Amino acid sequence: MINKKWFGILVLLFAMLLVVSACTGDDGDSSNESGKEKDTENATGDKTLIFGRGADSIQLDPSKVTDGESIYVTNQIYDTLVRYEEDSTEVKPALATEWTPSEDGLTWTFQLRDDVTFHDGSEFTAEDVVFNFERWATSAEFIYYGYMFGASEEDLGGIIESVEATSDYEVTFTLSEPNAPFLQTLAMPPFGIASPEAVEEHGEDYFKNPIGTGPFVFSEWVPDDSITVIKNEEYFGDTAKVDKVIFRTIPDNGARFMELQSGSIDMMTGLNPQDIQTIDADENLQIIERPSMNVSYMAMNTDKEGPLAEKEVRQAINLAIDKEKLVSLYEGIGKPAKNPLPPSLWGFNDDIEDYGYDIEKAKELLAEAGFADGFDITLNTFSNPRPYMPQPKVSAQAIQEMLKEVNINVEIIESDWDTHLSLTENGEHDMAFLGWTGDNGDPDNFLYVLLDKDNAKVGSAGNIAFYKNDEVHDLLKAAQTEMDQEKRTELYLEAQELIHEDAPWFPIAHTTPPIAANQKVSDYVPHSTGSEPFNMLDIQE
Amino acid sequence: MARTPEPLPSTGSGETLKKSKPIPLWYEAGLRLIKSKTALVGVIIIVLLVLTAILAPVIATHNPTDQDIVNRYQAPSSAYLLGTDELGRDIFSRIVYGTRISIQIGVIAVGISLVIGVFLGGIAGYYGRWIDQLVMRFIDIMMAFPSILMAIALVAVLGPSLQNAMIAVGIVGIPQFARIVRSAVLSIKENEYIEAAKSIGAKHGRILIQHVLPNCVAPIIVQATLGVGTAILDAAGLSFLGLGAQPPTPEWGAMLSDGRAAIQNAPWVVAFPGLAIFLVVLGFNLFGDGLRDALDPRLKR
Repeated sequence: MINKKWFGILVLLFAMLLVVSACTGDDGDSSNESGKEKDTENATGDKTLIFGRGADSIQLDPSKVTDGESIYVTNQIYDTLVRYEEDSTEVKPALATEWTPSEDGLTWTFQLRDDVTFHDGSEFTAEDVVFNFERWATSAEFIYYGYMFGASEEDLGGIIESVEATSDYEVTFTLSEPNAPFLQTLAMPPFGIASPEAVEEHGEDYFKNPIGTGPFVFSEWVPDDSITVIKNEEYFGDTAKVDKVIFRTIPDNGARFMELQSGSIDMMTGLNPQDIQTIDADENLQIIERPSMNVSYMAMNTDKEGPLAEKEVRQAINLAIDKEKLVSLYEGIGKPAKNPLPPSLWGFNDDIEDYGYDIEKAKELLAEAGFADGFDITLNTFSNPRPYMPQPKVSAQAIQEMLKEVNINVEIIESDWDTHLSLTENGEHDMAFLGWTGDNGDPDNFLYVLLDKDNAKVGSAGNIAFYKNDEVHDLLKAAQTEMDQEKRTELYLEAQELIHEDAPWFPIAHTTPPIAANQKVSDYVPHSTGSEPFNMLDIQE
Repeated sequence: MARTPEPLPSTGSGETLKKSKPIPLWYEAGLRLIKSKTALVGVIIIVLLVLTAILAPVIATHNPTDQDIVNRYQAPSSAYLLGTDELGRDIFSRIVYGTRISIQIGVIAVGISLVIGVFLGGIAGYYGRWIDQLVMRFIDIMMAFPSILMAIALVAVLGPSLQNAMIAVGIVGIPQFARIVRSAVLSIKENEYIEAAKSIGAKHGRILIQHVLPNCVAPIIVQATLGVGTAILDAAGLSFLGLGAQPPTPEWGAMLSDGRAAIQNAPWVVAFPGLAIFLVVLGFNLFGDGLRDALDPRLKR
């Protein structure tokens, strides 16, 4: 048995050497071979796009989740009343063709398309929109609804007072207060309209049997392995150019990249930054950059008794981490962040000066707060890459080492994505990594969701620093109800200054997430909001 | 090979008697061990390992946890003998300090298996009957689990840390010791000198500790040596899965896991820790096999 064991080790070692040499060797042969395989596979004429990613979707009901991997798929299956333009966050018609707000901004009327059917064959009417909004407004589970419309356990409807079907193809919304980003918000993929019949039929299990009106029809879900969607021939917009899209979950960055090189997947996210140069040198592969509208950060739980409750300590941590060095781990796909807002978004406060790297000052601040001897603290991180943070574990180790300089002893806790999210939403962490990709191109979607006290609720927190500042809250609320963009800008600039001073976060970086694809993938335009329908994308055989 | 029973408290002559008896066995075994070339290779590797661990601060060229992010993924060179990892840490120094952790894992994990395993095997073999049934069926249950799976389950319960990984690996190793000791005890307890000890009224505990166990030493030593290799391998596996050593500890399995991302661009980040694990486990296995051959009385010419 023992002999077997070390024979096993030998075999393993040889296998390892083989893998290494195969990868550094001539790539031409291997890709040709797999190319042939592909051709025979596709002899039926079906165009299949295989998309590799690091984590599986959590649920395929967009009203139950906030994570990018779920939204990525639901964006194929569902339509929203309005959608974003392919290359900006300007709004264009989708299920609704026209819309008119009233003078006071309290009533919105939408004209709907009359030629849309759900994937289950039922017809789409104004009643279905009303059904969806009523479903969302009667459940506290729709976290995004709470984020965007200020709903809470006590007030499930939030600022939406009523939704009425004023004719078969006309819907009227009545709001309790004006909401500047309202139209932008309705274009967010989480507000996809589901088939009422399917929702009622499947009940609790609806998230496994999603029915929408989108360009792709849900076909199969093998948890932690793959999700398959097929082309919707009846789609009212541009019908998809590929016949089938398979979303495959491959947790390891390196393994996923090898599959891309060998041709068994066509596209992937979660690229190790250092693999970018390999792609540049490979004529079969290409990098497609997603426009930047995100932020990664380390939140400090201000709610927990202890050092992080002190403003000076949080500022000291901001001073003690060398951000330039930390962001150099992003290998050129990230720029250091100083604000919660990305610079590409209006309202970004460029006058704010970042804390900078200053150990001496950090020590002084710590001494002032009574922690001259430092303290022990935990840092929660996650195991799979996110678009805004390609290497969470390595980044955590870098911060661990940097904070040692000021006697802060960091223990790293690594969890998988699911666990990390629920852990941080429940406020069980001291410090935690997280990031955010803008959903609707409005600063409200960053500042209100991530830093307002309304969203610092244990259990569904978007504000995982549990930062509660009434002044900031008043500014953000005022900006929501103000319709004039210039005045809103002023309010956001001021809010960012207060947030900077209180330092609930250590902002890390804004990235331009790279998507690696085979050269045969064409017409793919990644959207800055982090996901997009694949109906325009094509694949050359 | 057998010891003379000692009815009286130790006297001077008793001491010399005790010591002089086992010498031929060890002497002979040592000779045979040196003659076996593979065992010698094992000994050399283990000696080197221990020396490296003791002299780590002298041998290492850098502090094993010092990061130099600007110089990450440097290829092996004169400044960085085995290159640098994803955070610009010197891989050579990390491997050198990693020897301390590996030895620690080997000794503590095997220590746990040995103490508990010998105790369980000893009472099962000596007392027999229902105690034997109870203990050995329990051991059978433990052996029904694949060892790494059981270690993972244990760490999942205890929480991931190097200490808990050692405990888990130690527990997983108990059945081997228990079985070996039990079978040895079963044959030894039939010997005349045990009967003699019983007849002059020695208590069970005394017989077991003074007369039975000393005669099981050979198989225990062999199992312990082989067990160290297995323990290091299992602990590296746990660390690779993130269940063992936590960052920034320079544990070899954790280094392998952290370096995976760069396997295409910087293969040295995984190659060298992998090689280190391979060599050390090989060393203990060769030495253990050599010991087994050397201590096996059936091989006497």
